[in-house]
Amino acid sequence: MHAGLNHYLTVSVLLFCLGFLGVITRRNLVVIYMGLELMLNAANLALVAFSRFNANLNGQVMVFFTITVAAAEVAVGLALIVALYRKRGTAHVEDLATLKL
Amino acid sequence: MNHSLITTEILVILLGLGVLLADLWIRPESRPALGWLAASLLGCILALSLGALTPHDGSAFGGMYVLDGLARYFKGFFLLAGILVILMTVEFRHRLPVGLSEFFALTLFALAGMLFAASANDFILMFVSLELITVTFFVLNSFQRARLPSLEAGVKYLILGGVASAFMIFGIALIFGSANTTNFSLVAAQQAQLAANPVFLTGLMLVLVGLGFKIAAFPFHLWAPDVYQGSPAPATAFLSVGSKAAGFVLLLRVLFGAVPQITSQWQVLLMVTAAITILYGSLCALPQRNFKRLLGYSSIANAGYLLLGVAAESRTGSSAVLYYLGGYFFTVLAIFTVLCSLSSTIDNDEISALNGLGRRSPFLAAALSIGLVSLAGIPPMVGFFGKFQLLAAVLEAARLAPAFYVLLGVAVVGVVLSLYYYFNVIRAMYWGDAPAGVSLIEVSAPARIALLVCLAGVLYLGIAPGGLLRLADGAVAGLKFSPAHAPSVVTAAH
Amino acid sequence: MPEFTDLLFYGLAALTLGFGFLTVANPFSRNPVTNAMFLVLTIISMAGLFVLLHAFFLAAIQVLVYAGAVMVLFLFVIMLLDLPEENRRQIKTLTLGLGTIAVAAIAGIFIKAISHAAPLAASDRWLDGETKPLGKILFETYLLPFEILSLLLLVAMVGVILLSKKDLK
Repeated sequence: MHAGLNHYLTVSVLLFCLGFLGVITRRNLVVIYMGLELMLNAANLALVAFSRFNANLNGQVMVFFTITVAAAEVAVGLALIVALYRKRGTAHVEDLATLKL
Repeated sequence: MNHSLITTEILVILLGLGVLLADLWIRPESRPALGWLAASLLGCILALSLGALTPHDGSAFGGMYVLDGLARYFKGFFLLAGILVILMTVEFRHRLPVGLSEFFALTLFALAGMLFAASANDFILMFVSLELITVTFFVLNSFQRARLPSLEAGVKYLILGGVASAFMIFGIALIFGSANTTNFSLVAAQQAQLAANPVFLTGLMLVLVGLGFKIAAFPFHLWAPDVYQGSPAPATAFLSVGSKAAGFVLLLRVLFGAVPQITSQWQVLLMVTAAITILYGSLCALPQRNFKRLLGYSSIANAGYLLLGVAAESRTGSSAVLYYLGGYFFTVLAIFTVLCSLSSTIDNDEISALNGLGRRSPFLAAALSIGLVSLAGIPPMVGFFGKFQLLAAVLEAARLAPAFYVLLGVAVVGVVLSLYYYFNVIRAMYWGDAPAGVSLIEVSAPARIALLVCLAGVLYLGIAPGGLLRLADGAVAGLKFSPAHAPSVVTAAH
Repeated sequence: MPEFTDLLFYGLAALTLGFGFLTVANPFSRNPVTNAMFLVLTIISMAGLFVLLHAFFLAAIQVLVYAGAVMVLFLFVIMLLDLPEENRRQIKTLTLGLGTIAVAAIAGIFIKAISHAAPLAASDRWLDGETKPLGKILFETYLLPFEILSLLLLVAMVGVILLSKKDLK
């Protein structure tokens, strides 16, 4: 079958859901963060696909913004995880129980 | 193109950069003075931005940025919040051993993000300014990195905030793909076709998830109690007034600026969210022993009340939202200023730590009581009139859709519950036994000024609400409310 | 008879999703380094999909920024912290089951929604993502978000220093 818009979007949706699954089931903060990266990447794929099939390059420019935002979030997030690890000696979600839920 | 419209934002950013640079040359002990300087310069920007700086409404950057009544209303509040939060931070400095100047600078950058958010007329500008706010709060929330609760609060906000951003950008991708534009006005022009497009509707829903996170509406509220409890008090204060208000202004712009027609079909969804948010926040606040955590749940409940005005989908409802936010702003900042003033003498945030405050510092106790009474919605405070306005809007909507009477009942239950948990705190202050051997608490001059400003706002706006109400009503004039409420379903059935 | 590009699409899509799955749930290893390496592979396969969509510049950026910079950051942190192999904690089966069902439901809703998506432009008008038009859009239409992002990067820099520097004065 000819690979069209719907094919690319399906890949994007599946990737988004894989990332989300990782975020809610994994317990290691660094791996959770990788799940988040997958979700953002899925959005990038959708943007590029729409950009191509709608003949509107604005979508590709938005991908720049997503990549920049992702880079900033990763930098701050990993710094925070490092600070937490130094203080607490763990990168596991379950060990974050100082604040009662 | 009219780039002069963003003068206010540029000045705030320059001020932030200036503070960041000035820190290189000043001695550590003069950092509080830097805060006072920044706050007073911000005051000048506020005074200028109300009139001289940007005299005319208009749009810039190809319609991406608009300056209208709604934007001006929120910009005024954001700037005032910035000033008060910086003054609060100076009070809080004993618990921020490092990076006081950076805290000021980051507050100013978050403020810039909020100012841009108030003017966003494009999904991309919305996303980018929300990200600026969110990423800044990742840092501000975990600022006391020697304290585990603060780090934990930061990490929780990080993960949930990251998920919310991912949902939002995926939603924006779907909106872009189906509407071929991200501009609110251009989306509004073709919403008749888009209302039947599942791709667009899914995208819109995902964007609303992202905004729901910012305002802490059920079921995206999970971060609020932990973050409120663990974060430094000035960051929490800014989060609860600034970040929440930014979420609401964008919610209003998306729902009633970009897609009013679709919003009218989603009224039930908004109603259910509002009801559950109020009940959840109020019920969970009941057993709390930690004051800041209590405020976290109270903030969830208040998001629910504000959603009542959104769900009413009328001009009265939206102007009530703006008015309530204005009152909420003064009330919450008064409460957090008291907490910051106490931060040098009281070392925890338990409600029991406030025991006997009435005798240790009558002024702080009175200020905190006025704030809590206003949050509980008792006349003559602003909180009462705000809730009154929101409920009036709900009653008005109930004439069209009787389901709103249920919502009214839920709101009243929430108010009654809130009386209990707010008065618990007041009881501790006046009837609790002060721990033995404690002294009176000194209140510094800047904190006194900040508190008096907030209290004046709480009392004045409660007694003479007319001015702000007119302002709020004028600010929502540009929003569109679809007249087709429930009847569209009825006609379809015929 | 499918065209060559279609075969490439199916291959790259399968690689992207396969590597993506191994990033979040690797049945063979609990070491975070493995997850990170699979994320790199996911991103590179995605760059291949970008090329198929004629987004040449973005494909390069994807490899340079994501697979290059961002992933190096991840690996640095994992190795800096010397994260131990995640011991097989009792993952609550209930949480896992409910999570999977919820995500599957979301996936179902999304896929149903996007099955209605249709190209808004005829195939003869499709554009290539070359550098020059992209730069023009970036600095004309999207100048304001671009500048705000520069502020965001500054915030991130200040934040990282504040959060991770050993002894701040």
